[in-house]
Amino acid sequence: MIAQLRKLNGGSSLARREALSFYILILPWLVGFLVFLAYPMLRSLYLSFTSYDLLSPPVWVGFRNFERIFSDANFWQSVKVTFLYALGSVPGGTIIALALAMVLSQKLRGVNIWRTIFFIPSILSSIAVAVLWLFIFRPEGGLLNMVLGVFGIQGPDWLLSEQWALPALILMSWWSVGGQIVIYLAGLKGIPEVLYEAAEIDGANDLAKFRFVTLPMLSPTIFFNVVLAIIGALQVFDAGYVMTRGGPNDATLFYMLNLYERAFQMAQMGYASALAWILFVIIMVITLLVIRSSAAWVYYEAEVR
Amino acid sequence: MDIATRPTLAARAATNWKSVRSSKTWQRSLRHAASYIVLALGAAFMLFPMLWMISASLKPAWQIFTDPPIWIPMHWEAVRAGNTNRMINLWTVEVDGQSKKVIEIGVRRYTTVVNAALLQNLQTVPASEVGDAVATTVGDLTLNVRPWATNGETRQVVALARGDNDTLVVVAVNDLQAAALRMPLDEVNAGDRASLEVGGVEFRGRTVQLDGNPVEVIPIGPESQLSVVGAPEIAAAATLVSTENLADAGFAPVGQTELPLMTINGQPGEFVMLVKESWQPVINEEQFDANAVVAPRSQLADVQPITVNGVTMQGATYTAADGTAAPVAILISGTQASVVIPITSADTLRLAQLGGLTSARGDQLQRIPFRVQDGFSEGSETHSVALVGESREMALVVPASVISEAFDVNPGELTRAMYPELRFDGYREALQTKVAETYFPTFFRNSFVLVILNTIGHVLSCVVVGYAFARLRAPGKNFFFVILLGTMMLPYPVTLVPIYEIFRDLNMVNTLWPLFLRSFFGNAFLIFMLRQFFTSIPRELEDAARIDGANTLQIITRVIVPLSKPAIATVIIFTFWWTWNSFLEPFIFLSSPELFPVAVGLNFFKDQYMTIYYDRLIAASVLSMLPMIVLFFFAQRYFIEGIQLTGLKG
Repeated sequence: MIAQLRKLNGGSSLARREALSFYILILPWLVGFLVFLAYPMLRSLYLSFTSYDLLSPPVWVGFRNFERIFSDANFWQSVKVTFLYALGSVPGGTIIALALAMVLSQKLRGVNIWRTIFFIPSILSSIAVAVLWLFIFRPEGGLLNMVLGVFGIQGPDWLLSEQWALPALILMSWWSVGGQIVIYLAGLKGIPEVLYEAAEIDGANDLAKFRFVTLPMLSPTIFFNVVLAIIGALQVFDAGYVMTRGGPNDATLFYMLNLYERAFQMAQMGYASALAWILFVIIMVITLLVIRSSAAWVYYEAEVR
Repeated sequence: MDIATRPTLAARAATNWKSVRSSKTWQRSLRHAASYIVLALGAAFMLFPMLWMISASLKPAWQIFTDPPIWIPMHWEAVRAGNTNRMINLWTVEVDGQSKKVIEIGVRRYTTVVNAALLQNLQTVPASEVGDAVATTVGDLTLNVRPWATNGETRQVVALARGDNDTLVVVAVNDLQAAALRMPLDEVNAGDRASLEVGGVEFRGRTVQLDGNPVEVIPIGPESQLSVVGAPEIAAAATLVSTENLADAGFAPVGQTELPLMTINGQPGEFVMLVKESWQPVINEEQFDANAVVAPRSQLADVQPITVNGVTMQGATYTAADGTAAPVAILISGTQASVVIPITSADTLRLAQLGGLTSARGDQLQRIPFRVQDGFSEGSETHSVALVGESREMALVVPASVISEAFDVNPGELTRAMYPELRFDGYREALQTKVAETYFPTFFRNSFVLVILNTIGHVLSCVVVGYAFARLRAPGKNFFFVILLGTMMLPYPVTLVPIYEIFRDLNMVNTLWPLFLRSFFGNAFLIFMLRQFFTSIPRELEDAARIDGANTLQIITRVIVPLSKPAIATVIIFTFWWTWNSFLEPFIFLSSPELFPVAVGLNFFKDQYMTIYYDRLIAASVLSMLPMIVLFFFAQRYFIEGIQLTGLKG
């Protein structure tokens, strides 16, 4: 009787001890989450309604920051530039990554070597890559215009031209799609061979197999990576800062560049916080829209994990 | 019959074609062709920039943007001039069908002139009737000959001047030949200007000496030049002398041309000048910073020229405030005070070619301005140097006896002697070039320090948190797990400003703390990854340890960690990757260059040297990529598996 009671008691105290251990062990993360994430988010939400220069205490200004932002031509330019950048770099990058992954997934010789070649650019520091492409985009003697010259095309001034600076940065972003190639390659390997065999029996040709087997089976992976790519593209900073400083004539004024200038060059922390929250909302809305639309084009197998 | 069979044949052909098109072999070859095209395009796009970068980093700066491109790095062949640090480039020239390497000893420019006294039969013609000038050799002369179409015939003329109402004053080539002669340009330009009048036309000419008589000539061009070249060994005898000590000593003929001879004050024999250049006394900035002092005029005595390491400078005796007197060299003289350096600590004072000092920046020592050239390279050394004293004209001379081995060539026949060479100087120079008050190795050290601290932080925190989420049961666990997943996709800009504020309040701005402290509080992605891995470890292994009385921490260190080496390797690799490439945060938090990690340092290197040291900038960016590439080759598997994990959800 006593032994039984002790066992029961011990059992519940064991569960309590386990819960206690859980909370002790996740404490580092929990503290980090509260101090470096939850608090900063609330703080920046508060700051977005203030005028704050880091030196004197924030002054509540209501919606004035937002009013100023929405009537600021720089803001609208940065939104336009950032959206155009995302519109170019995300679909282009996805198509390139998908095409190369499809090719590599066939039983080609030296798949690993190719995968390495395609992957390496994506692990390099964005600053080193930016320096490299600064030289490649040089109008005279740069690699790109030299290659175009071989085909008899007189290349534009790229980063020095208002019209071509943004396309240049988009082109550069496609160079770093190696991570996506690796992911799609793994995704393609995960598609059961049986499905292709079945399609073949039904008389499907290559195009049909791609359309009715590969694409639906890979669509969750594509979907997830497109979401990540959009979020990444909307927050791009390094390339714009290092290569063009937003120029020429604000042609590459990315959202984050505008935010950085406001926060750390003009010390308008309230204004910058408002910008950050607008970006946050934009990203959330786009992510939700993509998720909503996903029902139409993402195929989920019946057994959802 | 005929009519009936025809469509049948056509139909049969069509079905044949269809069956070919849908046949397996056709499809396979089509697929292969398409695959290889995509692969080739992709490989070209991915590989070309890398190859170009590696090739460019091994080239001297001038070769990087040539058109057509030079893919294999080349090097100019050169010989050292005597015991100076001046290199003399080699040229190749064809002599008797053999290619010979030579150095250029001298060059003389020539022009065609007309003896005004012998000039006759001038004609004034409308410019529209005269064609374009073509440099043509007539006898031993070169003339700018133009066709003049008049009265149905074309005559060869030379235009001498522009007349009124769009006319040209011309003379027929035949009439000109007797009056024209080739003269060295320097002799023509040394003559007095003369206003001449021939046949009613005004000319601006020169009075020159011809066989000892003054003759009035009109220079009409074209100009040409002849080079005198000789064997590379000549350079070994070269010495550097100040042009003040040189005096002209006539000319020595060499083939069709002649070389000016020189004498040197106080030295016997005659000399030939190879080059005349401006040289600038310089001293290493480090030595300058360490030893140079500002001396008021009143404390300097016995100001007179002295020679330090072979460099002539103004010297003086400096009596310091404590009464000690020392011989000094005056580096920069000001009106009230001068910058001086004790002769005993001026061993890096030397002459440098002015050509390498053109991008010097301004600096000052107690408000006395001077200039500093960063990354000045000579031989295998690169230093920041201060420009001191006055620049001077120096000539590289060799004894006139070399003329016996010299010969003259048309400069067009000379080509630069080059040979393929991988040039690693760009890398060495990049590491030795001062950037934002420090040097590149400092940035590497900082990045490695951050990598190590972040790795320790991530491994310690993520393993325990990951274990808790994988194994322990607790109320609210799912709630926190959802939060953890949610934070993975949170846009960082929202927290940027307050995080800056937090670290400012902690007095940690411009220290490395903000760049590694947070890793000790875990990372959502790495926690998630470890949790997935830990979940796959069989529980039985833990139970055994638990029965033996191990507590949770002991289970983690003794059971989980040894079994999770691949997952922990991935944590380390991802931490290395993120830390190494991180730019915005260190850029915002740090202002002292000696704290910069590689990415920020490279950005400064770019800002400072984008326009002058291409080769070093490219070498620097290759160097900054190198640790990542090395890491990738050692740990490719973990990279690929980690990446797959980030993207294979859904």
